[in-house]
Amino acid sequence: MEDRNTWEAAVEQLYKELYPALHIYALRVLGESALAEEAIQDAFCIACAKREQFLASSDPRRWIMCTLKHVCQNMLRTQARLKKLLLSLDPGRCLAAGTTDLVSVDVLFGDLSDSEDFRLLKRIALDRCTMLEVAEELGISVESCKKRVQRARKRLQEKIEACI
Amino acid sequence: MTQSEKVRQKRLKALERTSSADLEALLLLDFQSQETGETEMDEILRAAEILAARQHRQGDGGADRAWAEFLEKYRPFAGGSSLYESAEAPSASAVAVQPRPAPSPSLRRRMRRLARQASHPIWYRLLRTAACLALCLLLSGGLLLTFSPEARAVFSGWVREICGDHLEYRYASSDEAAGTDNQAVIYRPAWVPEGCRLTNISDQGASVSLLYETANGYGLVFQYFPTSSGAFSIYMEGPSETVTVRGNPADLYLSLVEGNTNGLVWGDTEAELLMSIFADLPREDLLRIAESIRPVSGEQPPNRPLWFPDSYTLLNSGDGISRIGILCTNDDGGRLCYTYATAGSADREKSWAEITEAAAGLVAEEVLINGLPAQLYRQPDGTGHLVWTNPFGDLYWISGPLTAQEFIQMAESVIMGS
Repeated sequence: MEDRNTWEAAVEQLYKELYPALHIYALRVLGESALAEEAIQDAFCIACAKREQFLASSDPRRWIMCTLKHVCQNMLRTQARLKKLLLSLDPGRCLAAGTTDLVSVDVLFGDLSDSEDFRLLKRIALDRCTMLEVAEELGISVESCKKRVQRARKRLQEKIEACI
Repeated sequence: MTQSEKVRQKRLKALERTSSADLEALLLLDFQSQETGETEMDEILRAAEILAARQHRQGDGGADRAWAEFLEKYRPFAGGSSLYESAEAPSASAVAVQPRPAPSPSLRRRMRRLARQASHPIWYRLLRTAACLALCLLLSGGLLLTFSPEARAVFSGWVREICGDHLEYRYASSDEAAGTDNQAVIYRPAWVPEGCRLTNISDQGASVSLLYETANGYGLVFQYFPTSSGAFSIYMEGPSETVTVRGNPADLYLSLVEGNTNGLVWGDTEAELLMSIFADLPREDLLRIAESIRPVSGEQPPNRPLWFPDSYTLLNSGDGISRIGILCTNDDGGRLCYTYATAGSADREKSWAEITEAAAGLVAEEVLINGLPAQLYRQPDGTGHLVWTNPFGDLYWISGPLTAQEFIQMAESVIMGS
């Protein structure tokens, strides 16, 4: 228990010490404050999950900064991949133009799209929402939201490939 | 404290004197790089801390609120991996990573400048010294202008503007420039001291720079500026002596510390160019180099590819005396990198370490580049690495998702050594 308390106190201290600098960095590369904050939360979740690696690093501050950089890069890649997937279903560029009418989407793509999957991926890729924002809309945890995004992406990908 | 630790502390300290715009450019530059070394990451973190302090983000309660949210909504549900795919190294992904929003044109220019400065500290030290001496030229030239009508022509049309901690010179004359925009002609010395080696010709539009490695491992920079050029920056240091170069008045600056950089600046009235040489060489060598400068037509820059696959466009480049780096991307987000590093340089050591890491566990395919042996490595994701050296021991490295034929064609377009 004492070790856990010591660990948590150390993480909290590091978090609050580094938060302003990390937020500046993430905000500059991601462009939005909510995404920047989620990137920081994700970086510290990884630190907690990889506690041994984190503690064994020569400089925990450097480790967190490096992890944040990779999280930001992965975030942008994920958004780009999902966007590419969605736009591949949309030769008329309606989504790019900001179409939000789900009925139109269903009519547009017929049985190729699952509306719930489409809405989920659209929120992440085109509306640039955080996992937390989408999770709260759906009333689920961020981890559950992450898994839903992964499954939705896989289902859509399979449907596209089945149509080719 | 070791020497490297002292250098590191000095660099971190220097960030405190750096403008916020340059610090932001530094952050973006790092974000677009493949991997960041420990020293560089310390600088990035320090730059972010300085920016945060300047924007008064310390103690604004944001950290406390975010920590509470972390404990309530993120940490209890964390599954052990990132919310956003796997934390793979940037080079393993085919999707390009660009910051949002895209940097403005002025920010891109800062990023390019910072990339060049970070990669080539010796070259930039020489250029800073050049700039210092050029300022002294201006200050002493004020006297020359008063007492010598011939000197007036050298500075005629050039104006100086104070910009923060440096000066910028621009040619602002309304006179038409004659014969200075012939891009097929390069001016270069016909004589350089033994042991000097041309490593790079850099045409940046507003100036042309010829970079040489000297025998003691430092550098020689010969630059010239056409009257049609834009601004160039200088810093100040050192006194001057009036000399003559090919009949033109010139200012010679000898460092007070032996072994430090000396400089020679003059206006060539025939070529209508402002020329400068800065090097850790004695006065006799500087004058002899300057007297030997001639126009040469058809000169191609050495040690850089003259052919790139059609689908790739230049994203960023940095070059100096001991290194050239070129980064290109295509529409699919593929990254094509070219690196050149001179034998014995720290850049070569660093590049070799990166190649060793990238090629770890891979089997090399032996190929020939203009008769020289080279190794082609292929990662499982399709990224290839072509590596070879020239007879001087300079290192060449191309990496990207190219076919073997594209690798070889690009490599064989490089004019190696000089």
